[in-house]
Amino acid sequence: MKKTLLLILGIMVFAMTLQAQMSYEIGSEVEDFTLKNVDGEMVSLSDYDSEGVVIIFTCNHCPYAVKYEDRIIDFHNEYASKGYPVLAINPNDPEVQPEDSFEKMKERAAEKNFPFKYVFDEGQEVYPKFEATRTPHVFLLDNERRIRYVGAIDDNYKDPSKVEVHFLKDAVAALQAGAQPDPAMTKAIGCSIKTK
Amino acid sequence: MIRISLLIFGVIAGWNTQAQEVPTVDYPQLEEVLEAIEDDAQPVLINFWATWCAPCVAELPYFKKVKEQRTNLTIVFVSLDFPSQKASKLLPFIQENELPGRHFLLDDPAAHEWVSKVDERWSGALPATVFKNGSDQVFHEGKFSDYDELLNFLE
Repeated sequence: MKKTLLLILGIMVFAMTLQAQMSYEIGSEVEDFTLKNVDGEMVSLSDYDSEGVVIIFTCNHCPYAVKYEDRIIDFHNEYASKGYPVLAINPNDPEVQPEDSFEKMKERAAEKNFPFKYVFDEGQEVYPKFEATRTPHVFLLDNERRIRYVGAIDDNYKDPSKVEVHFLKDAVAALQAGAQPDPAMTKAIGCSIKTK
Repeated sequence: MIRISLLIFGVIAGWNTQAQEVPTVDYPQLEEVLEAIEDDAQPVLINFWATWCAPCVAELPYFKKVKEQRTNLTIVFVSLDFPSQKASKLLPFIQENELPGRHFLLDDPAAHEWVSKVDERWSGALPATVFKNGSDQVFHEGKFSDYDELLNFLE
């Protein structure tokens, strides 16, 4: 009886360790991945030799994502040259949300003239590793491609003119100063990632 | 004649206000009404949704059904529709679909603060559902895949 209990406990601990290894947290180094960009080219995280990379899970259909589109464009235009380009990833299954198909991504990227890469997580193998749950959902990576900040872009999804705290920009400033972003995690309202 | 007109007018007006009672609140106000509702009647199910959110809309029939079967259950719907679409989308949707329960429109951009106050476990993705019964609070993020999953959640 005792042995069985110990065995069960052992399996549980093992399973929990596995679970912990499977997804990232603050400080985790992100594995390389390769996804298709709206221009048809394949893009890998390892293609970037910049100081950092700002991965943003986002999409076409979600009103919160739409509210942040212009802010993401502005961020990239200001920060790419400083070493922090945006890599936007659409994690949604287009069979569940047709607005987020690869074709529609191309249309949206063209309409808004996205200056950053907008890639498609086809097969949905990348977003679960990040434990991304919603769009938009930001992951700031440092020069070793470790996750240093997770969460919201700023503190007001409704009105950019009323933003008081620029979480993402503050996190980048912390990295530039050689410090750990504080807060390293924030929450935001968003659309659930669409999956079957 | 005038009296009858007035009566009809009154009935329509009364029916209208009842159907359209969807106060727009910020989070502190919502917290206050939720506390009052919880003091008044338990158990309470609180669902965060929006008319533009497809998985939210897909699970609404489960809430309607559970309300029909459990009359003691109080349901509170907290819509995250944009206030500019309250009259054009939210109110007609509630009326046409005959959604039971109390309704609020949450208009509070400080989501980084209130998402955790709703429930520590919530990442902020819609839909989300909280069930409170006494001191117990359970939480579900994302759509219920079917009615049975909702029933299990309420166990």
